[in-house]
Amino acid sequence: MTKNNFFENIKYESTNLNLSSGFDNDLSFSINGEKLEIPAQLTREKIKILGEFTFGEGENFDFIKYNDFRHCIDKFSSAVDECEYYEPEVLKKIAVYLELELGINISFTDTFSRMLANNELTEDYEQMKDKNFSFENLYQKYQGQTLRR
Amino acid sequence: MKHTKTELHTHLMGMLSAKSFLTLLKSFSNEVYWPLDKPITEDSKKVNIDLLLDNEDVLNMLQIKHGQTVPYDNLEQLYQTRTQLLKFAVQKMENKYGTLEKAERMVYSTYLNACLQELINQKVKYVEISYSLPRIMENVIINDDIAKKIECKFLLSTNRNRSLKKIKESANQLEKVLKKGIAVGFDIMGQELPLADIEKDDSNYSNNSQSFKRKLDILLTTLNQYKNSTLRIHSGETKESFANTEQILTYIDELATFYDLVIPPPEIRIGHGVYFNENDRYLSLLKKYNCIIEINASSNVALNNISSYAWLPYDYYIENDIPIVLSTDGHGLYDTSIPRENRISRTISRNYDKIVTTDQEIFERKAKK
Repeated sequence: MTKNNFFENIKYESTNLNLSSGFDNDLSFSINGEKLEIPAQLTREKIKILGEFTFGEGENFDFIKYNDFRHCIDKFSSAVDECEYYEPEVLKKIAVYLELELGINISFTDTFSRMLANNELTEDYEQMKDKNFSFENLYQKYQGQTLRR
Repeated sequence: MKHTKTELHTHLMGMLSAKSFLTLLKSFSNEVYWPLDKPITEDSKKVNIDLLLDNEDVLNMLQIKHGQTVPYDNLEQLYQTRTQLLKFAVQKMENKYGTLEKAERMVYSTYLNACLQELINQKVKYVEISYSLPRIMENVIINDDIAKKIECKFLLSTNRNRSLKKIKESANQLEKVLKKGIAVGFDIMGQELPLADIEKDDSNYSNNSQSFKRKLDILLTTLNQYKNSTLRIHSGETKESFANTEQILTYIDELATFYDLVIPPPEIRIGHGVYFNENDRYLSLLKKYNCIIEINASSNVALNNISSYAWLPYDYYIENDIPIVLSTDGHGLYDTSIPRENRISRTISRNYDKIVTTDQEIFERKAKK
């Protein structure tokens, strides 16, 4: 069985960052020449994350991991739907983290670059699960403050 | 009255009817967590499954009652509920049998045989089931009495948004199950979004990791080596995606020209094909590659992609010599059946007899290959 490896996905996506340095990364959220606003960008990534969790890599998770991710992605999804109450950059970071766990293309490439530079991608689910893996804890981790909402 | 005997567009987790799903769970546990349709939290309780069996509200946590409509998010919740319940059963069996492999074999074999029996009851004789895990496909055992009545093959599903790295891994996995005769091809799925400009950018093809054409490249060149393979693409399901199918067929055409491929193989099937650019180019591409359209009437209404069965383009395709098949997209989840999909098409299409004839030809070509 092929194992989805968070850290191998980081290496792979980092290589893609270097190869795509000639690209206009805004094209990731440009549809027929029109750039999406941030809420629409987050919605688009939410849809991809939900899809891969529900119909793809998520089916590979064991019962406990599946439950943990289902919970986290539910909360992430609700936060994206109400994104005016959250910091967009933190939601982008959570999207990047989830996409690395699931093996999806990273579209928030600038956010990903910054997370790499700031060593914010040093722990995967296996390392976080014993410390109460949750959307709230991810939000706190990437924002640096306790989530109040 | 004659009706079709193939089911070419269904998803493993969506197959078993809601009540049978709950009954099946009783084979593994008397109790289940509650609420059924939410992730387990500290506030979750346990409830006896017998108390749930005849409760309509509970059944609707596992299905979209026929005639009702839900947003796409609800579909994902239903799939997640079904998936999580089977994982719950696997965990119970792992505690009993000691290994994950034995537990998965027991649970998924029981589940699959129940699904196939329901299809047999619908007079289906050939099914291609979409699923994402090769290890389950290789591990399940179909009972002899079931195998005599229905032929079952898998399509390895892969989400359209997966990275190229994951798509390559899927292609390697597929080759193993193709060689064993367990699977017959790929299913590209996931909620359709209009392609982003970067996904369509060919200016730096070999360095563009988000190129949708590169993903098709990997899948198509793998399948072209296997004589009776299938590539199914979910496309044209929503109004927003009307341009997708023609774009995807254009990519296939470009790849076939570049690599000098004769297609089929693979057989190209378009899952849904409800929304499209109505023009000669679309039809000519469908004909060039002998594409087949899979019409899933109940699914299209359930997800509010069409407001009436009258919208379904059965006759547009048939009268332009494009073959179509009738399928359910998951008969349990959509509370439908192959006979029901036949009844719907019979009331809408002028060409129902042609649909049945085409289905018979496809069945004879595919069965016992």
